Amino acid sequence: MTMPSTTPLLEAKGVSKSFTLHARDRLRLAVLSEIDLAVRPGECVVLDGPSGAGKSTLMRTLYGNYRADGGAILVQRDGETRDLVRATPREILALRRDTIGYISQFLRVIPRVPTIEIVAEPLTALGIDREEARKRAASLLARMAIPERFWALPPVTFSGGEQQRVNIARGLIAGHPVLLVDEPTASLDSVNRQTVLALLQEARDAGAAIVAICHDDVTRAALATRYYKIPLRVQAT
Amino acid sequence: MSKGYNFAYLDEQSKRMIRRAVLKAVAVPGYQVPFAGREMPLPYGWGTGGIQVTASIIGRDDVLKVIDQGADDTTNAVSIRKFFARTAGVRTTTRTPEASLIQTRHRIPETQLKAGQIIVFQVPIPEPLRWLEPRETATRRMHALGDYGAMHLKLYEDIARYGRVTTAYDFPTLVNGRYLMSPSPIPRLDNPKLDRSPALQLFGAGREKRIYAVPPHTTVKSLDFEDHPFTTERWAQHCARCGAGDSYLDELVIDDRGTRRFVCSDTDYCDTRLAGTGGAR
Amino acid sequence: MSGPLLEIDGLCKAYNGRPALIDVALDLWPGEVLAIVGESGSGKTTLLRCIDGQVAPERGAIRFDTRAQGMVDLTLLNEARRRRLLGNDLGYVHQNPRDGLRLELSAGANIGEPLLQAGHRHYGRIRATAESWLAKVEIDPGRIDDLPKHFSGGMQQRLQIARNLVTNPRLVLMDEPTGGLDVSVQAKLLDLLRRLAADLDLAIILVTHDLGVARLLADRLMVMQAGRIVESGLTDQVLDDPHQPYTQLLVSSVLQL
Repeated sequence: MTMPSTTPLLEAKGVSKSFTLHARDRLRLAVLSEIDLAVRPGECVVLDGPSGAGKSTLMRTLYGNYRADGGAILVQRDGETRDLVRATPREILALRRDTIGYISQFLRVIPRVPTIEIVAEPLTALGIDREEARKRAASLLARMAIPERFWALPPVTFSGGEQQRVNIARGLIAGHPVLLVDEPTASLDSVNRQTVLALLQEARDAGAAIVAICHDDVTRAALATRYYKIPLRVQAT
Repeated sequence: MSKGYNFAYLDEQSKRMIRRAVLKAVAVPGYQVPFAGREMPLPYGWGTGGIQVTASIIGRDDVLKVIDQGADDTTNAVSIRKFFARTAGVRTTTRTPEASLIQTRHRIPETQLKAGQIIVFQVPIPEPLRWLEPRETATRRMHALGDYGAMHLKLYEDIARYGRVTTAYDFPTLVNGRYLMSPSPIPRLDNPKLDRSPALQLFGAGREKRIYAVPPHTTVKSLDFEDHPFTTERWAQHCARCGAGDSYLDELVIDDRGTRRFVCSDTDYCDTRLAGTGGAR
Repeated sequence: MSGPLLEIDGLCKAYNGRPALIDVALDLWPGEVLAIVGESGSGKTTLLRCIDGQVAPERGAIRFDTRAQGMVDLTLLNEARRRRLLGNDLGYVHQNPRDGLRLELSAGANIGEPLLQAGHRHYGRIRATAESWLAKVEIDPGRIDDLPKHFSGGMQQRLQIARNLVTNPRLVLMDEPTGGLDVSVQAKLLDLLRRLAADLDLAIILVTHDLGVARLLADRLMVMQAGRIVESGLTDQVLDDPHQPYTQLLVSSVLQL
């Protein structure tokens, strides 16, 4: 395993996130408060905490899907530090294209798109030639044990395990240096779980900085270089 | 010349108004100038626009020729020629080279016109885009913006449907590289004669009340495609009267058995050739 | 090209004293897809029509990056100058395809017209381009000589899109492009638009009341209410983490089955 270098690829500093529900008389739910978390190349930080503690909220905030109320989320890109909290929508889209990847718990795709296109898409978004992108997608799908005859089909009819493997393939294909992974092996049998874990370990050992949510012990043991427990929230009015 | 009419029928103020419109038209080649058309002693569709233009520019020393589909001796040509003889007392002729002013319905004489001659066309529908766009406001805007892509659509559709452009008359032209113009229902064969003619070409539409003009030596290009260039009609026959092979031929049925003969539509051209003096082309 | 394609600020428009746009500002970069959502009367269509030059705003600037002269405020141009500067850089897809097509001319002629307008004069090449675009929008190229009035609504809409895209515009404005189509037809059309936007690096401003369409197609989302922009950001941000009361209301009104 490579020794992590000093500059974190992803660093949350004093990040807070709350939700104001206007329909419920402006009820304010504070979920995250003053989160500090630095993830260096080669690290995989597994988020800890009971259900509802804010693990998913933190992941989504690190991806820019939720907007943080305060603090900074620093990402290294092209040798420069960018703050996701202050970035423009264009900048966040650029970061998502080439720096930060998000692998959700379930495959969420636009219907009717063939599997191979789904997996190739992160590469074409980077400007890679469509044919080349498809070739790489094909080899990754083969590694994930998705039969070739499925590649032209949309994944909607696949089993849960197959869908999740497609999801992982799509998330890993672009080689993002920062990966946010939510329950990568939850719906997989032990054989497929091994394949997925091997891929994630490869990415980690190649220098990716990973933040993961996972509940099962095998996955945690295989991936985690350390654990981060989300501090109890500070209750606000 | 009959008493009781002003010279050439129209009052002087009307003639001045029309001449102003003509000057404007000459200044902007191909642009349709609206004018306050007067009541003429014949209904719309019978050449009132052409007559008003002729009446406004004709002078005592002019020599007038009037043709209808190329012929000097059809009813309309005869009537209009008589009209000007009575109201202006001018000399009239059937000889193209001798005329200073020619009023025509739907043909250009085969004999090439010279500098100093004026030809006045009778125009039914002056707006070349009317087939596509019925609204006057919309066609005016298209002319103002030079928005003529749509005109080529007619040609496109013809080629798509029939393999060639089938428009036989009133073939659209671009004048001076700027305005799209309807040359009036002259046959395709006559379109090339419009281009850089040494004569002044005036167009009058009485019902629609528009005047437009092509000054001498102005480019007039018939619309076409690079791979489907503009072509003119060809006949297998020659004129049965004079033997001409390069003029527009009318097909005449000469007896009850349906026997047909092809004869020059331009009667003066045919007569001249027949008389051996040889009309210049 | 390093700057934004479109910059709007301080845009105000009222119809007979009733405000339709109040201080609208936005920017758009090449290749971005921006969805504008809101209820009827929110001003979203008025905004589109202002950009397209169909209506004139009372105040504000609409700057567009023209090929010939860089950033130009379109509100200051008369129609002739506007046409000259914009050429075919700006497309407009109407909600009802019949408003954006010549129903009496063939499908090929409809696609060929912008090319003819741009000065192309080779019949064979124009026809070949029209055929290839019909294929791109998944209409059988064999129907190139058919009249669009004999097409279904979905096909007419696809034809309208082809007509707009044939001259490679930089920005296409779309007003509810899938409105009035049934669900499966909508789905096909959305797939097509997604692919074309990605392949052609096209910037699109898409007006819709359907959040699902916005989520599918748009990178960014703006929510309008009563003539104002109440919230804007990345599409997934605005839909998953709505901040404003109106946005939360809109998002919660979508049926989640």
